[in-house]
Amino acid sequence: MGALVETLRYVISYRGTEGHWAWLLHRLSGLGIALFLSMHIISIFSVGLGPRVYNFLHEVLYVSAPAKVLEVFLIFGVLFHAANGMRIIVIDFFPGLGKYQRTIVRIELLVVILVFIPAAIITLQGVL
Amino acid sequence: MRVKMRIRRFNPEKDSKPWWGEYEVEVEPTDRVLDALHQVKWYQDGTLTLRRSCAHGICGSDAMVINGRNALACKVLMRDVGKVCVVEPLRGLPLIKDLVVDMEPFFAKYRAVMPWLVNDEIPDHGERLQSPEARERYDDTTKCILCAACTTSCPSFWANEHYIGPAAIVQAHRFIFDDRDRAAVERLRILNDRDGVWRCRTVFNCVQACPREIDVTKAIGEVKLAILEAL
Amino acid sequence: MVRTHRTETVVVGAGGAGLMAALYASRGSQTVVLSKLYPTRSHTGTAQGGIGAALGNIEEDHPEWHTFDTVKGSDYLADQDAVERMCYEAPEIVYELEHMGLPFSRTPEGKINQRPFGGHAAEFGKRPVPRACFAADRTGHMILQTLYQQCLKHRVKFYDEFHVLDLVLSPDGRAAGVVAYDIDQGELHLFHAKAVIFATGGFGRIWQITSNAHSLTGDGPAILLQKGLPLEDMEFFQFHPTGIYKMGILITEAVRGEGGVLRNDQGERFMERYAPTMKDLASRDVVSRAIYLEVKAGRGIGGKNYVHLDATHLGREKIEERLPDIADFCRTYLGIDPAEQPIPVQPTAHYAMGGIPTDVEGRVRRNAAGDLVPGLYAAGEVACVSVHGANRLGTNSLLDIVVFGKHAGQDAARFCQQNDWPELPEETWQPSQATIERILNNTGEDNAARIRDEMQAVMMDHVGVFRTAEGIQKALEKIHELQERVRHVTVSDKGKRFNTELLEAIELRNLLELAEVTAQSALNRTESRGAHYREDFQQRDDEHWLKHTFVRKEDGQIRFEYRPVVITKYQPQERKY
Repeated sequence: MGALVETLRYVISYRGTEGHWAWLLHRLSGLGIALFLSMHIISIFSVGLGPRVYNFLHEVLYVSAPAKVLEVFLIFGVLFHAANGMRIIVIDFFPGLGKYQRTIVRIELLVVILVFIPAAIITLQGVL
Repeated sequence: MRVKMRIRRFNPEKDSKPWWGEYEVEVEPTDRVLDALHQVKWYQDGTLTLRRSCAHGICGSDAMVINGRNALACKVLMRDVGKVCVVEPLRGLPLIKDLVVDMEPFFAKYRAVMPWLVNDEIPDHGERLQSPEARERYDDTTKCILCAACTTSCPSFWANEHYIGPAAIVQAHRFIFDDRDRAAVERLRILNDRDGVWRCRTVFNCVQACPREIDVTKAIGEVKLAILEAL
Repeated sequence: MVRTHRTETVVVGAGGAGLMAALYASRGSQTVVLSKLYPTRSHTGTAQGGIGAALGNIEEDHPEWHTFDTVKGSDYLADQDAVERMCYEAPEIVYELEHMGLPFSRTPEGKINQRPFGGHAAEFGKRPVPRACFAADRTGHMILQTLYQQCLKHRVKFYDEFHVLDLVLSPDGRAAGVVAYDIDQGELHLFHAKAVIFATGGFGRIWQITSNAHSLTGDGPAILLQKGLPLEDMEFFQFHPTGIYKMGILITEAVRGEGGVLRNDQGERFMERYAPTMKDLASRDVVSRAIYLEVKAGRGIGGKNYVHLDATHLGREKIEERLPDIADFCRTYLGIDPAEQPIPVQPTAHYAMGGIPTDVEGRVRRNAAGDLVPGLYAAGEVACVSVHGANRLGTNSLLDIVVFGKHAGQDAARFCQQNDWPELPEETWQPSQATIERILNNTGEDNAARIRDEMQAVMMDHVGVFRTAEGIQKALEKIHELQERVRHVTVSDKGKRFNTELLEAIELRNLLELAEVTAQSALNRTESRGAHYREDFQQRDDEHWLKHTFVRKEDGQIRFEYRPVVITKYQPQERKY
């Protein structure tokens, strides 16, 4: 546990490059997606508890405003995780591109944001 | 200019955990961080402990964390650190005292990649020939001075002390891509280990940290591809 | 308590000479290497320009020409048998380094690339010849790395961060081992050995402006002085002409080898006046003096004490390919681009031609008559064979360390096979223990750093490139005062673990010993030769001074002896470049 805390302190306090922060965000978004997936599986299983629980979860809780906000985070996480994963694969196969890694991370972020904004607006439409 | 030095201190014979020491120094903008540390050690607090030797970025003794980033203290100028200069020991290696860490785990990883030329075909007279292009192929990784700035800037290494780390991979690269060497496959096998080259997550901290401006991540990427090809 | 180890050969120092010696000694004897630094931190790594060998890969060249240039460069003080051995073995040993894996820069045909260097000429001084075999401007780094790699391959045993404090001599005068201080643990270790090889490097830190590492404190020669053994030719210390202004960081002669020139405040290429044939590639003592004279005549840049090294006409491509580290130093420390702006330079204390007297096998001499200390060896900058005489040529130091490191290692192995362990005297660690305890328990106010500052300033002012009896006397008075003060120096760190403050105090004591014998030897030699220039005796005086100085301390008193120079082929003549 102490080692984990120490590592986290290192990660947060190190002034790395774009790659460092992209790596951190990749980890966080990965954790977020995993969390969502387990939630998703649990809520599907709730069908076994009868229609009342299932319907409450899917028609009331999941469409509530706080859930929508969380969904926006999920969209960002999925988009970023996917794009960043692509970036890592590309760099793994073309190591020479590493020279431009700072630019590539910025382009990646730009693409993610461009897709994310309309998606977020659509998601939040019912709530706003 | 007046600068406040905030230095992470730890004396294994007295302290149970590290603490921050603060010292004011008067320096020239062109002085090195090493000069400022020497000012503290020589004229304010002799107990401050650090390693240093050549003082111009070749011997690799004084790698440390300066304002949150790995660098050699003799290659960072005071004009670039601002009013407060925060200095800490390298991360991920056992702390001995103040800015001194135990380098043995680092060198053990270096030794693990067989960092020597393997080639028994010695010509009767003269040198082995090598084209300038073949020599250029591994030039970048011959520059490594084993200062450990790269390995100790790597989140994968912080999280897993068994990860062989960028420096050892750079050293292996220097031989794998030397066309005189005959043990590339053996080295690639070593690096194909679960704590080998695949722990690299292309974070690029090593590239930023390298005082010799080696494109470390590129070298690691080339080794990854070589493993795919050869094994 | 003291831990005792028993081995056959102990090598002290892990630079180029120490590693080469260890490599060869380990082939015939059980060998350990003690180094106060991690081996790859050694100062060999900072050597830039090249290693001299008459390979003739670019132009015709012969070991004989190399020999002549070295003898001439030494101002005829080098022992010519030793120089011949070094220069004739040079090509083979460079090939050997290549076979070990050293990544030399290559010619288009794939051979080892070479470039011109100061004082190296074709046909006995007629024109510069490319003789320096190089790996960009990182030749020393590559040698150090390659030799360390080979030592690992051959499983040489290292004790890293062990600071040697004392040499142990057996009652019958043989080398019997060393006492070392484990820096990490603060414990003394005794290494009982048959052969001891000192390869501790130089002591440039006695001067203020120096290219030398902080760790170059002459621990080896100072230990021998304390044992009553002599040092040779201590008055000859090379000031490299091109150190970065104020910092002393070395800018390799290869900049001039590649075509760079020195210019004064008027933009004049002044070396044309001082050395019409070799110009900027004259030997280092000549160039350093020329810079001083220009500065003295008010032609330093802006009237200050430096000149410009101009490489702007070489073009960025050549600089980045051949001199990448130099470009990096300029950017980092000066904030300039050498392809666009000239580099401000001044002479910087660089290399000890003198040191522990040895024969061509690296065996240490006990006196000027040439009697040996059985089992004791020295190699590299710490030794005086003497192949550099009064002034060393660039590229010959890397050659010296590998050639004589190899011979010392080989001879030590042979010696170990023929001899048993010598008898150890009682409680050999006592003096080291006492020194440490005295420093820890001292109650004085004085601090090592301030004494060191004063020593470096006075040595720079009076025992530098130009010397006079009056100046040296002044320096000596100061040194004696500082030696008295250093006895009362105390440290605030009283701990055992990694007490570098304690070690700096011990190193300072060593530096002061060497400053003293350097100044005494300089005062004693009433002529000018090579790097030793006396304004009050400006001529070379072969009649009285064509001889090596052996200096020793007996009961605190300085004693001189002399040893004739070995001359084989080349009679002394006037030295012109």
